[in-house]
Amino acid sequence: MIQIDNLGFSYAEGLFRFVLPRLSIGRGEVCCITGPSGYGKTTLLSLIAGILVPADGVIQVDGLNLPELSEKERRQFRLEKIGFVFQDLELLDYLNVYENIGVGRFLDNSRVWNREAIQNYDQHIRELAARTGIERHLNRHPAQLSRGEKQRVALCRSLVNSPVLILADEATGSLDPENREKTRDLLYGYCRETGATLVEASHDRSGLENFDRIFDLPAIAEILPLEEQP
Amino acid sequence: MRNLLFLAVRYLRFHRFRTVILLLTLTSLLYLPLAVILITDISQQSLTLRAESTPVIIGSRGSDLDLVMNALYFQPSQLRTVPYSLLDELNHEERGRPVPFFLGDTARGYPVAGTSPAYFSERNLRVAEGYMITGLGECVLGSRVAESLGLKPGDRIITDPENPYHLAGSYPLELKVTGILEASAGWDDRAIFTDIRTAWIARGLGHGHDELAGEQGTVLKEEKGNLVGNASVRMYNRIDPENRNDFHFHGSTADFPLSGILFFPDSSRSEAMILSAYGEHSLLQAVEPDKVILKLLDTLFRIREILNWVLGVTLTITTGAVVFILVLTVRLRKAESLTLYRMGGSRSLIVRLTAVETFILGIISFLISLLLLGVTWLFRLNILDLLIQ
Repeated sequence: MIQIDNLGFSYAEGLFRFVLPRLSIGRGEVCCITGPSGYGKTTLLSLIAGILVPADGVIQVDGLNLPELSEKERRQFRLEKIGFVFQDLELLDYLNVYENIGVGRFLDNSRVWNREAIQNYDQHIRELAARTGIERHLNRHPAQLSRGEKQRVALCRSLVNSPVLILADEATGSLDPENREKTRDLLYGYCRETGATLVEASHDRSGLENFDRIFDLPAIAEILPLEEQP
Repeated sequence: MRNLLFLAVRYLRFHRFRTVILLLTLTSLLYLPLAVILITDISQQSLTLRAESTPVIIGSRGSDLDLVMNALYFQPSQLRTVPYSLLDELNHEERGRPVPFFLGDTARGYPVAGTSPAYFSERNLRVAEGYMITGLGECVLGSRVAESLGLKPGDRIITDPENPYHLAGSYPLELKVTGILEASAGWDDRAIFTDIRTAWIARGLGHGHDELAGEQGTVLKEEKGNLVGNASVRMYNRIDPENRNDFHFHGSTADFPLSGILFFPDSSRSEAMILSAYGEHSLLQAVEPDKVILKLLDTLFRIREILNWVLGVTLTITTGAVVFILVLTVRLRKAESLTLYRMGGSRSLIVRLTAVETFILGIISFLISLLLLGVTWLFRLNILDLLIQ
C-alpha cells in the first residue's frame, strides 16, 4: 500500500532534513508510527498524503508515485483515497455535524453529484453517525458538542469517502482512556471490515498492542542538520 | 460554484454579527452617494419646475428668496404683506392674470392658503373628489393632506390656534372640506386652499357673531356709531348657510393683507413692463422665481460639492475598512484553509470563498440600497420640505 524509498525532505525555511531510507506498509495493515514530539511524525503523514512533496526519493501509495503527480492530481488522490483524522480535529464551526461529516462533497468538483449520488452520500453519513452514536447531534454545531463527540464527528468525516488509507495524526492523544479506546475500536473495526490501511502517528505508547506493526521513527528515520547532508 | 455558494451562505449565516456589520457598511457605501445624487437631482428638478411655471411674483420689498419660498412652497415669511388694492391695480393694468395669495394660518400642521379660483386653473389643479370652493368657510385639500389626515369631502377641519392664551386673538375656524385635489406630486398636495376672505376670517380680520342691536345686555358701549359687544356675545367659529351673511369685515378690504400676488403676464413685453415697474418701487418688488431658485441651486450645488468631498473621504475610509475586514478574514481562516487543503480542497479555496461571500453581501447590499432609494423617492417631498425649512 505504501512504499517509501530514500525519502529526503526539508521545509523551505527549515534547518533540518528529514531522511527516511525505507518504509513499507501493506494493504489492510494497522500501523502506528511513534516517536517524540518534533521528530517528523506529522511531516511523514503529510508526505504520505501528498500534502508535502519530497526533495528526493519515492513515495508510492496505492500504486501512485506521489512526487510525479501534479498538485491537482494529488488533491484528487487525497479526496478519493485518504481519510485524515487531525490532531486538533479541525471541524468547521459554521457547519453543523451533518455538513462537517460531508464537507468533502463540497471540495470535490470532479465528481458528478446527481440525485442518486447525493442520496447514497446522505445515507452513508447517517449510517456512520449511527454507528458512532452521534446521530442525535447531526443538526448541532461543533461548539455544542463534547470533545469525545467532536472526535467521533472527525472520525466520520475521515471515513465518509470510503478511503483506502486512513492517516490519523495524534487522533486519540487528547482523549480520556475510555474515548481513546472507543475511537481506536472504530478505526480498527473499519479497517478490518473494508481492508483499508491505517497509519496512526502517536507519541503515546499506551495501547499499542492492537496495532499490527509499530514503527519507532527515531529507529527508522534521521533528522539531520542541513549542512550535514549525506 | 454551487459548493462555494453553499459554504459561503453557511459561513455568513453562522457569523451573523459580522455579516450584519458588513451589510450595513456595504449598503452605506452604495446608498449614500446615490441618495445624495437622487435628492439633489429631485430638489433641482422640483424647485426649477415650480419656479418656471410661475413667471413673476409681486410682494413686499425684502428678501426675494423669502417671497419665492412663501409664494411657491408655502413656507412662513418675515416679509410684510401687500394691500389687496394692489390686485385691483394689476387687474386694471391688463397686462396678465394676477392671482392673490394669503398665507397665515395652518390647520393640523398644514398651511392654509387663501387664493382665487385662477390659482387652480394656472396650476392645472382639478378636484378628484367632491367639488371646488363655492363660498366662505369652505376649503379643498391637497391629496397628501387628505390622505395623511384621513379626510374626505363633507368632513371638517379646524385651523390651529395661534396662541391659546391670547383671549382677544383670532379664534380657530372650522372649515368644511368640499373637495380633494388630484395629486400633482408637488407642494400643492400638501396645502389646504380656501378663498381669500375665508383666510382673512381665519386670521381674525373678519368675524361673525350674535346680533347685538335689540338684544338686552350684550352691548358694552357705542363708539362713533359702532356697537361694542361685551364678553357674552357668542362669536361664530364655523361658517354655514345660516350664519354666512352675519360674517363681515370692519374697514375697507382694499387695505386687507395679501402675502403676495402671482402674476401670469399675457406677453413677454408685459412681463418686462411689470418687472420694470416694480423693480424701482420703494415698498414692493417683482421677482422672477426661476432666477431666484437658480441662485439657490448654485448654493445647493456648492453644498453638494462639499458633500461629495466629505462622502468621498468617508467612502474611501469605509472601503478601506471593508477590505481590511476581508483580508483579516482570510488570515483568520488560514487554519481552516489548511484543513480543507489537506482534505483535498484547493489552496485558493478560502480566498474564493471570501470572494463569493463578498459577492453575496454585495448583491444583498445592492438590493437593500435599491429599496432604500425607492423609499427615498417615495418620501422625496418630505425630504425636500426638510431641506427647504
